[in-house]
Amino acid sequence: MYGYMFRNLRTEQSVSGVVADDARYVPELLDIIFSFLDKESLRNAACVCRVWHDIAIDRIWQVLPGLLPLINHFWPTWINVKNGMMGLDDTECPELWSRFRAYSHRVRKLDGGIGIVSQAVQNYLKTLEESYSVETAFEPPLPSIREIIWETNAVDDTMALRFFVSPSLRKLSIRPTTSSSPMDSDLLSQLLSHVSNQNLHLATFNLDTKWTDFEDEKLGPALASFIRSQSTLEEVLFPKFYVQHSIISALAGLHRLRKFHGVLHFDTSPEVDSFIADLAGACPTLRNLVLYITNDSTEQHSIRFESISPLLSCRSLVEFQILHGRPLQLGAHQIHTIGQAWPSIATLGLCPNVIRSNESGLPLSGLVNFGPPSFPMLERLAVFLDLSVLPNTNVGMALSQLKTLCVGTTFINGNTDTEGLAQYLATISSPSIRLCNATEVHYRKFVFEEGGGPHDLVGGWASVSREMEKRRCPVDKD
Amino acid sequence: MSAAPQVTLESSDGEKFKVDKEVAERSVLIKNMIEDVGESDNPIPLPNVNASVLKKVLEYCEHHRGDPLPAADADPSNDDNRKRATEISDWDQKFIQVDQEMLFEIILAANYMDIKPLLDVGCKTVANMIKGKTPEEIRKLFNIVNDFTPEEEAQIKKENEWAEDR
Repeated sequence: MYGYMFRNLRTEQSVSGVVADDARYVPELLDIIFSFLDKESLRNAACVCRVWHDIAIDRIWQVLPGLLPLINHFWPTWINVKNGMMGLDDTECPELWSRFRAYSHRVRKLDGGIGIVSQAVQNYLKTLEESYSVETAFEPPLPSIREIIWETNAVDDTMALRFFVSPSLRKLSIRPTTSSSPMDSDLLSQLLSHVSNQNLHLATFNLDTKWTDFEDEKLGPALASFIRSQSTLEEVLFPKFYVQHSIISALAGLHRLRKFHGVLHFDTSPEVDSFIADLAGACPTLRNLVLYITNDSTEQHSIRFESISPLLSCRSLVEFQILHGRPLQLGAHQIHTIGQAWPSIATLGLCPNVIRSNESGLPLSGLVNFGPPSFPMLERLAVFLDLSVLPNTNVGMALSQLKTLCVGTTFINGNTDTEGLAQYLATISSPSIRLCNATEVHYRKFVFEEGGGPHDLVGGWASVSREMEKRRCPVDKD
Repeated sequence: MSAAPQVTLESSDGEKFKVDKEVAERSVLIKNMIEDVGESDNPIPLPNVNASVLKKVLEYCEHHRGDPLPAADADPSNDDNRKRATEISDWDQKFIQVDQEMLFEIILAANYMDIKPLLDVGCKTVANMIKGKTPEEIRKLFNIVNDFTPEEEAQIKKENEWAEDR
């Protein structure tokens, strides 16, 4: 084993006055204590003494913000050591080599990819490239890695990802750097085919791209065959990628699949219907499903209850969110049917992504349908409501199991009885009900996300919120 | 109606504590012992916990007797569950306001008796004491001897820097 650089020294030079079971020095306890520390505090803890150092440094290095820190530290030395040649050699500088190995073995999560492409980075990648192409048994530089979030701009560093996937990898996310030019479909296809040959046991694959990045038809087959090669996948997340039939049929081979995010892109609703039906057939044991439905035409088609009804056969659903330009219109009976079909449902998102002033939402009194007995487990609900009519009945008690309620609405304006509305909403006695105006709802920044801040977009909404705050008991700031 | 079943625990210094079985079973160690040995009138010995610490631990178990037990199938490598709740509840906060020696004793006892929520409360408290302090302040607070050579210390400071975020 590498790691623990001072541990050997410790046995020779024992820590003075330490009792065997002194909690200040028990590694397993220190590890728990340090799990509650931020990075800054961990750095200070690492300087306290040898025992603390070994435990703290493990935690510090578990998450690496890109490769740059590792390379920046070692690269100048490498150049000196090898007289301008690249690489770190275990014969020429064994001590430095073992330090490098010790740190690289600690890394569990790489979040950020390569970072700024400097000369040092390029040289490092060139070294890896050489050994990758020559050696039959290429040794991954981060052998204990479990999660990679690879930021790439596709030009210089997309393919470099293949050096860092190792058999220990479970979660792989690919996302573009913010300033990037669009990613290249061919390059990504090539990378995926490389990765799929490496005998991984991935649990999560997330292609977290921008809308415009790909020629979807080109990349689709590559993604489908990648999915087919990864039979251990539990989570497939394409939050901004247009899912095609080939991908859905590939999903059918994933026996452990429980989470899927995808985008359906169609101009007519019959096609959406057939897609959803295929998905329901391919993934009967799905637990989390988020679908974004979009199309090019300005005339957005409504999603009807019939469109999503094939999914009612997915009995294990815990989360279902559907985002579409037009609200999903549901009657009381249909809401009840959904509750019956998904007994474990805890998160239900039925809010459209954009709300037009001429849409009609669910009447406020209709909220009662989302309470028990139909929805015994429901904790988070996003729904498009018509707040212009205050009901006579109190739905508050019926929804007492809710932790978060997000309300999309356009019906708040200067004429709205904001005080009455606030008073009414405050009767819903859940601890952390959040209210959002759904005009600001975007995919991935879904209404359940914290903060938000759309309240002040609509003046009336802000006053509702203020009234709510006044009425509410002091709530936890989560 | 019969009284709730009780068990007797014996501390390292021989003091006996009679408590409800439900309270004692907040400790996974004791729960397993009772399951292995079966119901018995013999006191359960806890050779690693003295009376003053055991009293304190049982006070915690008594207060939390009705809490749901932590999921046994939680992935131990996953710190998220732990991190999610860095807050300590008011009662726990008051409970853990003890001198440092007792704090570490409670942590050791919670670890030995396998009472995870109490272990977390103790460890969070220590973590909060560490936060925002320099290495020297931490050493002073916990009475820890600096056993690095000056060269090692310089090296560590340097290596810490490259773990910085970009």
